[in-house]
Amino acid sequence: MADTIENGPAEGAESAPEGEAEGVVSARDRFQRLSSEVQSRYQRVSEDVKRGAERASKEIRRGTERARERYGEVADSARERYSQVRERTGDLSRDIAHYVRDNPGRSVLIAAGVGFLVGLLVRAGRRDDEG
Amino acid sequence: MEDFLDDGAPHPSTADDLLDEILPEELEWERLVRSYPLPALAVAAAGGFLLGLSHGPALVAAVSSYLAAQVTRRVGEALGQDLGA
Repeated sequence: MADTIENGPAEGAESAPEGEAEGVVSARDRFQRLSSEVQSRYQRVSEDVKRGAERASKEIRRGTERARERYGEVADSARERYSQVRERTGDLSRDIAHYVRDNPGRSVLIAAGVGFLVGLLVRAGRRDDEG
Repeated sequence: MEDFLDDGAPHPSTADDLLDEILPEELEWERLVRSYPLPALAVAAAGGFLLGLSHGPALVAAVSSYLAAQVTRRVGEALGQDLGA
């Protein structure tokens, strides 16, 4: 600006469009730099997000598979235990039935005696509650 | 094997005799128990429970006095035999 004043109005008038052009060029450069920076950041962020999403999806898939395996193990174990209990109950029931067929009178008297004792205990408990 | 006679029929035990005396003859309790063992046990237990609930103490007293009388009689007999001998 000082040069323009010192060199006169003619030279100043010539140099003014040059300065303006430089300013435009530098602004364009700056804008381009900024734009490319924004683009690169956007790409980085989008890659990060993509990677994170892939990792999360992989983890979810792995967790689902693990849960499915665990469920299968638990279900198998429960099924096995149920069949064992059922088998034992069946054995016990068969043994009792066999004993009862061999000793009908004794079995009936034992069952009646156990029932009688339980009835006595229940009666005594009721009396205690009332008293 | 002790419970069975030579012809394969089972020996009636004391419990069987007792039930034969207590229960009516038409009931055929032994056949019913052999045919339906687990339900028969359940019915017996339920009957015992109801009996204990309604007449428990009276039955216990009656059985106790009967047993005491039996023991007294046996002891008396034994002492009498000893004294007599």
